[in-house]
Amino acid sequence: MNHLETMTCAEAEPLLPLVADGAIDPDNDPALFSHLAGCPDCQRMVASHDLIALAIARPQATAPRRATVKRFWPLAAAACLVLAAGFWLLAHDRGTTYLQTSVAAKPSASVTPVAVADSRPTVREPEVIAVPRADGTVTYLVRQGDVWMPIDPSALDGPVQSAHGSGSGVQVRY
Amino acid sequence: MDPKVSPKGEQTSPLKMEATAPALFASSETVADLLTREEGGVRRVIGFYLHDHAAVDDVWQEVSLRVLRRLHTLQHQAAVRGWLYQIARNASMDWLRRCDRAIVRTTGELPDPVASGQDGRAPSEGVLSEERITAVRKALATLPPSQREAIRLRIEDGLDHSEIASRLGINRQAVEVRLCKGRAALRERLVDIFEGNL
Repeated sequence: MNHLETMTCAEAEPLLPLVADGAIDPDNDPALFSHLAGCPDCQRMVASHDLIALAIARPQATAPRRATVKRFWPLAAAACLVLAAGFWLLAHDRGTTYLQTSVAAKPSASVTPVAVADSRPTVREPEVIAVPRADGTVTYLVRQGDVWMPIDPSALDGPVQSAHGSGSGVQVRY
Repeated sequence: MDPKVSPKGEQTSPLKMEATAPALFASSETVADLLTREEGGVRRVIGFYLHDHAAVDDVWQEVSLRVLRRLHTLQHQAAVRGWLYQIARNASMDWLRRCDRAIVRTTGELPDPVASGQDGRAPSEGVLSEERITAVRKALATLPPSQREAIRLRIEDGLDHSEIASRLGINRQAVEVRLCKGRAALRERLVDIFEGNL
């Protein structure tokens, strides 16, 4: 035993917070650290000081990425819906224009003029078209929403206007 | 670490080297002898910081390496045990900081309280559980403002004592008094949590 081991716990304890603080190290107080090296009670106290400091020093938990997603997903979903609706309306509008253009591309005096190049919502859209086939028959198509479906001509409640003189012979009814 | 090469070109394990600091140990004692003699005590110190036997093994190896690297920094032969204690303490704290940073960096969250590990806990979970952190922050809030501010500047902001003194407009000795009293008060209030199951 040497003089470094003569320090008591009562003498050491007031200094332990400064050990945890880093203000005292083995070079400037070898007697204290010699006592610490052999004293489990004082070691435990320094450890608790150290661990408390570790908890204080810990940065506040950063917002988890999942939480960020959770916070903003309703907004993101709404934005997606708006975009989807916009694309749908745009596609719908272009499809109508294309169809009307294909009809109007064959002008005829007997066909009611249609402002086919105008994509304004007020433009009337054809409800029925008649498409001559190579075998001489005619297929009638009726608009059902966004699609055209074949229809039995006997089910029509009126004549389909003829596009006489047109190359395609397409007839339309509005 | 590179093994030491003898004048004859033979490589020897660092642990078999004679202590390079003259007269630090008994004439025939090697670093390996020192580590063997002090292993139990060093592991006990590490165990005050970590709850996991595997982690204690890891830190013990780290301590062994640090002893070899820093032997030249040992100033007094009689202080070798205190020097070794300090290395063990620093290595344990460094390990906990690394572990915690890795968890936070990976997940962006506090460690999972039920993360796997010995006794069902992650090695750092016992130290940095939500319960402990909450208790520490509550205890900190109950300190007198002067002590709380000194501790916050020292631990959270990492200022040294002189910088704190300048910031608070007091002398350095007053800073140390505030830090000492504040830390002692925190430990007193948290002793059941931090020493009850260490």
